[in-house]
Amino acid sequence: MAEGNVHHAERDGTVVIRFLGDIRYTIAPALDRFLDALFARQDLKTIIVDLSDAESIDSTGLGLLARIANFLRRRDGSRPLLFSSQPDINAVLSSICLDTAFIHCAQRPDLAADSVLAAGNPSEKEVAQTVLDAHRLLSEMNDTNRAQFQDVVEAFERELGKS
Amino acid sequence: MAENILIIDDEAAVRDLFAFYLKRLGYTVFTAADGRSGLDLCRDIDPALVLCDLRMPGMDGLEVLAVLTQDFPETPVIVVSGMGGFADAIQALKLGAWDYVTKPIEDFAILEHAVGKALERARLRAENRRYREHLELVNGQLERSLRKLQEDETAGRNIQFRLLPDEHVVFGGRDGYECSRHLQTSAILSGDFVDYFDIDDEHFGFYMADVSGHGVSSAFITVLLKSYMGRYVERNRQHGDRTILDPAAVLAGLNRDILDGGHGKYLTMFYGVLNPRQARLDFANGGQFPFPILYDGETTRAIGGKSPPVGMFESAEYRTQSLDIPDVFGISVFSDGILETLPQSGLSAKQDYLHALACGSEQDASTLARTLKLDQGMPPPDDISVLSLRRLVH
Repeated sequence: MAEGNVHHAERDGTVVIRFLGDIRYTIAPALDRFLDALFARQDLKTIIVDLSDAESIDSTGLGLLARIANFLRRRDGSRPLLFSSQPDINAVLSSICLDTAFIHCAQRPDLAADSVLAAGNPSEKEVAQTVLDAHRLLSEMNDTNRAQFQDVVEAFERELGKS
Repeated sequence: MAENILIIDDEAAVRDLFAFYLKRLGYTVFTAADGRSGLDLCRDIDPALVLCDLRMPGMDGLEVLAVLTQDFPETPVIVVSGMGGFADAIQALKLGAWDYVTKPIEDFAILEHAVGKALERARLRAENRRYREHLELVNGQLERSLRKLQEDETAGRNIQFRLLPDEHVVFGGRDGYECSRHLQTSAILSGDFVDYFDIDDEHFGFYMADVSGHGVSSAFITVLLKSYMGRYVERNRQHGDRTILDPAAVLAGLNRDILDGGHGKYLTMFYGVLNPRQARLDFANGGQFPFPILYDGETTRAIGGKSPPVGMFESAEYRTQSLDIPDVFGISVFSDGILETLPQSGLSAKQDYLHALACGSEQDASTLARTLKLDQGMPPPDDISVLSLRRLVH
């Protein structure tokens, strides 16, 4: 089984965390440390989680998603945005009600920013705007190479090696 | 510290010349005029290197070499052969000499180079040997530690498995209900746990739990869970506290306990309370997926439904559902580890297969495990457990 990995990028306080492949407990320690550092930052506006290219996610990975949602809810009552379009992953997310802890968008984030969006949750105006902004941000990140997605695990294993 | 070099040569002029030159290079030099005294001296001073003439009266160089390679295998020996003694030199190399020089020496840089190279090689070999010995030592320690850990884990497993109920237990007498279980662990210790137990004269409870993560830490939580559940049972017996009879209340209480524990783990759990006399079942789901499968003699359906896991969200709410038990009745619960081992592609195909498997009231947990081939081959990638409950009909 191919080892999954996690990439992150950010712009103006919005951090995107992208899960790729089979997300298993082996990458959890590095991701945990990444989240610790992230949650300690004053300039963090919001977090976008992208599961579009995840093959599967184990119970430890689901726990990490819950950690992200719980952090924002405790901080200011907001919900992180979640892009997740794989039916099997969505079935698991909804079976444990984890989808409701996010603003869940059941499609890939790479469609044109001006298309009509179907947010998985009741789409209040504000939510729709959030989703729209996220699409713009992500499509910009994909189009330009200004946003360099970095491997979370590599970065944190490196830091661990230094200490 | 200067290294000792021993020169064994019957010609005083050669001895002195070599000694003079090597001293100037900074070595401490000892000399011997024949093989036997050379070997004696060698035992005294344990030199870093021996220069030995091949042609000597009495004990010749090859004999000295044979003793040196036998008694001082780490000590480099450079043989000195006269002009035209190439055959001797080659023979000496075959017998374990490290290098040779010919005399008379025309350029002392050759000697310097041969000595330097041999000493360097000896140093590297000694270093390698030390590394190897160190590695073997550390390896031995690692193996011992690993064995100790495995013994600890095995002891932990024995304790954990002693906390499990018997593989088959019948509740409510001859026409009652049979609970059975099968656990297949991915590691020595399990993050899955199954239990069924008497609550009072009228009820028994049963649950399956799957703690997130793997190994020892998850196994600890299963032990904790068992003691929490035992506490609810005890409170009911001693004070008539009815929490244990209300599945949603139990899950809500556990949710608080696990979150307050702050160990960064959560668990999925399906808990049911059955009253055999009234043929009534109350149950609540705490994130157990795939959903438990109910068989009513004709069809199967998923019960429990979408629900938050225990210990994941502070604001989690749980719902107790009830049903009247039909004459033919079975419930099969599989932990999510099963999904990784099923050959069907896609989640719904896997779930359909489990439903087909749960169709019938003839099979207990071990039969289901056998059909799923759980007890064969490699340990699964994730813990797999099966809980089966069926109404006995005679």
